[in-house]
Amino acid sequence: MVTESSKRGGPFVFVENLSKKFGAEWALARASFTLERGQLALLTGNNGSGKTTLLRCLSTALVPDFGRATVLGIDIVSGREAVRGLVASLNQPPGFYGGLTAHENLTLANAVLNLGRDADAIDAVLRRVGLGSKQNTPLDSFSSGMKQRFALARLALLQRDLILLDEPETHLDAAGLRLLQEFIAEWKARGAAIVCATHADDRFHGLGDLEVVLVGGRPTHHAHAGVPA
Amino acid sequence: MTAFRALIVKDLRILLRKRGGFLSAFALGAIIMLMASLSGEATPISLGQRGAAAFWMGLFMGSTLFLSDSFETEQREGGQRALILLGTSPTAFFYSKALVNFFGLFVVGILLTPISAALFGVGPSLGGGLLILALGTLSLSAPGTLFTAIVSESDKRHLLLPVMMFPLVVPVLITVVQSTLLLTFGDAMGQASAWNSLLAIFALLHWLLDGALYSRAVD
Repeated sequence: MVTESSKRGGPFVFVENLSKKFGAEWALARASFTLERGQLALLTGNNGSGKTTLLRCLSTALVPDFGRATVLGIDIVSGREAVRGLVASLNQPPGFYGGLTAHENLTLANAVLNLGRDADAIDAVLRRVGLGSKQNTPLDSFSSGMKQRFALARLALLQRDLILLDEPETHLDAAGLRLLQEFIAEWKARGAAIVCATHADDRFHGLGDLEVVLVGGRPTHHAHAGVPA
Repeated sequence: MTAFRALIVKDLRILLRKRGGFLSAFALGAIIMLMASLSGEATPISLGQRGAAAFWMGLFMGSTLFLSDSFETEQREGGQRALILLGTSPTAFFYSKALVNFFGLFVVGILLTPISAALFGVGPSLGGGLLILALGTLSLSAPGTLFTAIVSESDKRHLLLPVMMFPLVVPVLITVVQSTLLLTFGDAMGQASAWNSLLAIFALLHWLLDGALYSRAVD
């Protein structure tokens, strides 16, 4: 069988010795893993272990000091603009305009990123995350959980190939967590690769294909699901 | 809707819904003009000569509040950062934001004009006044947008913005005050067109150079 990897000559996401230093401290040191389409990598570890730094490097928000990473064979440093067109992130804070309504925020993203979705698609995705009745309310008046649901709606609208989630379970209630799990399953089925930093890996039971445990910026082990580390 | 138009609509919506920066810019500008009118001689000629400088100094200081507030909306929830990381051009952000900032400062300038006329007793003619106001606010809004982005990560951004921006816009302020004085008191030596051309060149340079530098400031 000819897989996408073999056609491209490499994995969908390739991370090799990726390292980032803040001052004299290595926030991330020699992180390495590969990820294929439809796979979910869970990044776990204590606060300050380098999970967010790794995600920020992959999203091109930070330039690594050592090592390299590619998405679809494109280097995250030299091909930054192209990588940005493939990646979508859920960060803390999620990144939106509090003075605009949920619908206006998604309409803005749709227009500036040239997504080509119509107003019905935006309505549908907001209803899906339980914000149908609040779509004309400014995000400033949303609770933290509602903002997180809005961030999920934007990810769903974007339909990107690599999805980076930074503690996506934060602020979500039980129904919100089920919604998150549904989205992850759908994104995987669509063929997107997902990297998720979390303190609650049990929430993603059965969905993770790879776990990278970070301690003090260094990966202690990574294991594919069902394979001993 | 094109990306650029969508960004302008976004900034205009936020500007019209959150009028805090707009009102504080107007209030600070008016206070600075009031203080300038109360200092020095109160003869009509002395007041008239101080009026142009006070108007533009008031508008410049007010602009720092307006511009800070304008970028606060980008900074607080990370809206601009998120869209840039998703592939939006920082240059599109600069020109849309600078254009809306120009519009906002132009309106603040129009509102300050009758106060200036009341305090200092003189004011430029309407047509020429609007042209100079437009050129002056164009020359302030572009560097203001760039410098607001540069200082936005600092806790002391409200202090840093006027301190960093002032040296860069001193030539603009000198030029625009000269243009305003010539329009107000008459142009016996025919110098107005030279000063206005210089002002237009400053505006053009700032819109070109600051736009090119913006992506380095935010990305």
